[in-house]
Amino acid sequence: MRIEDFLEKREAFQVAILKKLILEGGRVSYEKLRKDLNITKASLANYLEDITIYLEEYQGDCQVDSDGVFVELFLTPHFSIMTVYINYVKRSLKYQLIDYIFNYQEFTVIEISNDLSISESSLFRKIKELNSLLKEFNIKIKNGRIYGEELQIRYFYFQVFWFLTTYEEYQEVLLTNQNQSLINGFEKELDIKLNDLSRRRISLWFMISKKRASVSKKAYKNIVQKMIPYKEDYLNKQVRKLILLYFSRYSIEVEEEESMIHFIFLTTQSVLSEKAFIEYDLVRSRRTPTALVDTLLRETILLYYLPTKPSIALERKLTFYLSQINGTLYFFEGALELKDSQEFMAKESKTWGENLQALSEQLLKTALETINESNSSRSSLEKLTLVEYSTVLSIVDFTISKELIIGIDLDLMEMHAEILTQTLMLNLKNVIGITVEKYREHHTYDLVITTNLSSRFYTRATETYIVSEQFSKFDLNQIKTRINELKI
Amino acid sequence: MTEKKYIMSIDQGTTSSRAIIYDKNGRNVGNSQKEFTQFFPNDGWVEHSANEIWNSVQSVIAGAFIESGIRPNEIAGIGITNQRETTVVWDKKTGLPIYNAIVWQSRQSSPIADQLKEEGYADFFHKKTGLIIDAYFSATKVRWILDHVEGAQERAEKGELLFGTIDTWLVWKLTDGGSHVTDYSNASRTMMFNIHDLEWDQEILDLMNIPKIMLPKPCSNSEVYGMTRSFHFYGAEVPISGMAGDQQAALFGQMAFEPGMVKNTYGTGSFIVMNTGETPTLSKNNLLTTIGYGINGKVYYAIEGSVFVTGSAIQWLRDGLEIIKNAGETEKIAMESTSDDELFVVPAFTGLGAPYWDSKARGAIFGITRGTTRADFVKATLQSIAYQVRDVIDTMKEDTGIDIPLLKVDGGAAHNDYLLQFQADILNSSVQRPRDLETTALGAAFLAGLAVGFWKDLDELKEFYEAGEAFEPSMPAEKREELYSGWKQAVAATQAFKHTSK
Repeated sequence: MRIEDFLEKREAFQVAILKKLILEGGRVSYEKLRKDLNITKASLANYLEDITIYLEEYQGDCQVDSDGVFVELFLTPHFSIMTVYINYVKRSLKYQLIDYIFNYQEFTVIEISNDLSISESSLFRKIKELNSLLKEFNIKIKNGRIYGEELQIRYFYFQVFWFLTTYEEYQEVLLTNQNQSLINGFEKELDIKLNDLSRRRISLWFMISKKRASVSKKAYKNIVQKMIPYKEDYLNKQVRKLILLYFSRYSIEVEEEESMIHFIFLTTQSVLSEKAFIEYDLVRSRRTPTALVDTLLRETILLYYLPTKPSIALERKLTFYLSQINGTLYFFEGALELKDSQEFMAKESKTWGENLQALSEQLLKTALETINESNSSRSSLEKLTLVEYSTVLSIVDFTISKELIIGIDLDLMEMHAEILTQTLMLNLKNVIGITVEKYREHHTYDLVITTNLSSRFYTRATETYIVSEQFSKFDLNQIKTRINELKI
Repeated sequence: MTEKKYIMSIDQGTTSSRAIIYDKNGRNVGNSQKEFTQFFPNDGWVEHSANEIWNSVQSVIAGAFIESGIRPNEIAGIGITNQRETTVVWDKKTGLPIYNAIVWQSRQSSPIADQLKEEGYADFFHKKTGLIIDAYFSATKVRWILDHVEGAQERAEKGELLFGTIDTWLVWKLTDGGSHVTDYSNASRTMMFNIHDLEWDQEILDLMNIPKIMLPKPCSNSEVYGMTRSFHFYGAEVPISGMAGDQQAALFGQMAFEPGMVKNTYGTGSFIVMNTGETPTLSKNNLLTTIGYGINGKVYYAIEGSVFVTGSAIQWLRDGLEIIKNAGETEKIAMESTSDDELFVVPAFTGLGAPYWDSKARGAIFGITRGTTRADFVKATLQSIAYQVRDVIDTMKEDTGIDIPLLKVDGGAAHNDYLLQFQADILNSSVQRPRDLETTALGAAFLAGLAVGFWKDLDELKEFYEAGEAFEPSMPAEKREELYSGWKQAVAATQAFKHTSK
């Protein structure tokens, strides 16, 4: 699900307009905006009017202006657009419902209708809409409480709250003395060092966990099953010891499964540092599906880049990132997408090239097969995983691919050569790991893009690509493919 | 349709781990290699993380499967070959090593070895183990760990700790603690194994105060030691059915099954191993007596000599003198030399090994004239490798009384035709280079395949084995002996020079 899914249709369009403006660099034509969002001129005008009113509370820090031809966004340097998004979500009824259930655990229809000032029929409608969103997380609201696997419930709340909690709120509300001392205890007992981001994440997780600890009848069926191979894992045993000790101090009776939940959180949700993970990786149980899939995917990637061998440091980084992604894929269902994964893939694929996209797909296939998950209909989590694999591959690609030097040598009338050169440079601008310049004699190039058929012999070029005077999209695709091949 | 089967060889070396998958014809159909971290905590100390080694092995197994497209359940058996003597002690319950693996090169246990020598135990150890007391072997390394890790001795005595060389460690991990075993070839490098009785020697263990309970069960080199647990072998339970230390595996991979057959691996140094048959021969010249392999109820002994400087002499030309760009070009450069082989390089950078055993000797060059060229230097350095090998081979002949008509070679420098021709000339023996120079991994694969019936017997191996190229001696006898006599003079002169700066 996307964070905008909490919003009503009208607010969702308003956020979409703001996002579009951000993506387009702050200014977009009225007509393009209308077409991209597939709305009528009148609707767009209405939404813009709503936005203007909505943004008044920010007193000029954020405003949207329109002259009927262009729409423009203004942000003061110290203001983050995230504040606006967050407030949109927090004011939505669906979010308030979710938040209410978190805080009160159980409710009656009358209580919640009164507290949120909505009619019972609206309440039922909203719960129905929410349940449709929660379906991918395999949780649902029913009979005045939230149902589902405990791990999934906490994971869902963690995702939502992490997005919606500002740094200031963390400092004030979450980094309590009690949480700080617990985190310090974690660091000491597990012999790890947590950075500021990890401390904030773990604080939020503890806050959610403490709230949920008192709920009766929690469901653990899936987690118990999935954790069987982790029984002898070194870190799992350490966490178990620590959690039981911690809760006994506060006289809270916890089930065995409580420690499993924390182990999963610790190893999948960007809490452990790379250094801590690599130390754990040396002793972690190899019988676990995640250890298995981490190794398989890493070796697949390394094989792809042969004969180039990444440094040990890069290999470790790769292992670290893959472990987070694969752990999430194995233990969890559903994902809260902060970016539209398809849009992201479509945009990024221009710089990645088809090879990396295909490799990402291969990695996902291998991962799903290894952890026995089917991918007949791709879930949000799988889509997100695909994006994350691609991101990891980009990091590797960027780090180990050699920088290609590309020369453009067009034997055309000066004016035509100039414009075609500029067009080529512009189109290759976003391709990672290349330097594009006008061809200079006596310089060495990995690739020369030229219009010369055989009139010249490029002794200092590895490859040449002959482009037609009517430079086409086909040419561009061919050039990008060749660049990708040369980079490996 | 019958499913195609393969053998996987795991070659766990000093700087990297490799996995190679072989088909029925002994052809490499997929492989993967991974380097791991070397730790140097103090001068002369070399350690590895045993867990990192294990992880690297897991990775290369996966890599070989991915590269070849072969599935784990298509593997009929696994062979392991390993860096020898490197010592791991771990907690039996948790599987966690209590200290880093102490690598064979590491000198941290030298004081223990020195004390044993001072106390006059040299002969005692030599007779029982065939070895010369040295920190190189596992016994002093185990003692060092038990001395330096708090509570280790007590825990070892209670049976809470296990010892193993890398073969043992890998089988223990692959079987998830199911098998604690080693093979004769690795056991014979521990300085605790009685090579005559094929058992751990209680007198040695008592002397070293090493509890027997922590030692692995010694087994032959070709039998099923245990099955991989499926979670450690990507879903399949496969028999681990062959094991041998790297040099002995190379001997087997070179098909040196008959007494008198010798192999030489030209690596950083050279390891020359000769099959001496079913009776151990104790050297009078400080060569090591060891177990080559045990198979089908029989044990074949070997005698081993090493040359300290081989590939490292070529590295010296490249990195020290900077007169070559890479090792590959030495062959061409040496052939360009027009000198009469009167230049002698004695690369005793760290002393002289067998048969001289002079640790204080240092390198020297003799016969330089105004006309000496870079090509002469390169040629003389390659020749020095061959001379040193002859030194060892001659010693082997003297110790065993067995003639050596053929030397089987492998390792990096075995690519050098000039070296191999000169080696044949100076030995007056044939020198044979196999088609596949990865004889170590191949040997482990052979041992594993024979145990599970993948290959019926040694004859079947001989059927598909490609002997490769042979270099026949073509140098007149007079010239050969003149040159070798020049080398001997050069060595003697080198040994005479013992200048130490004040």
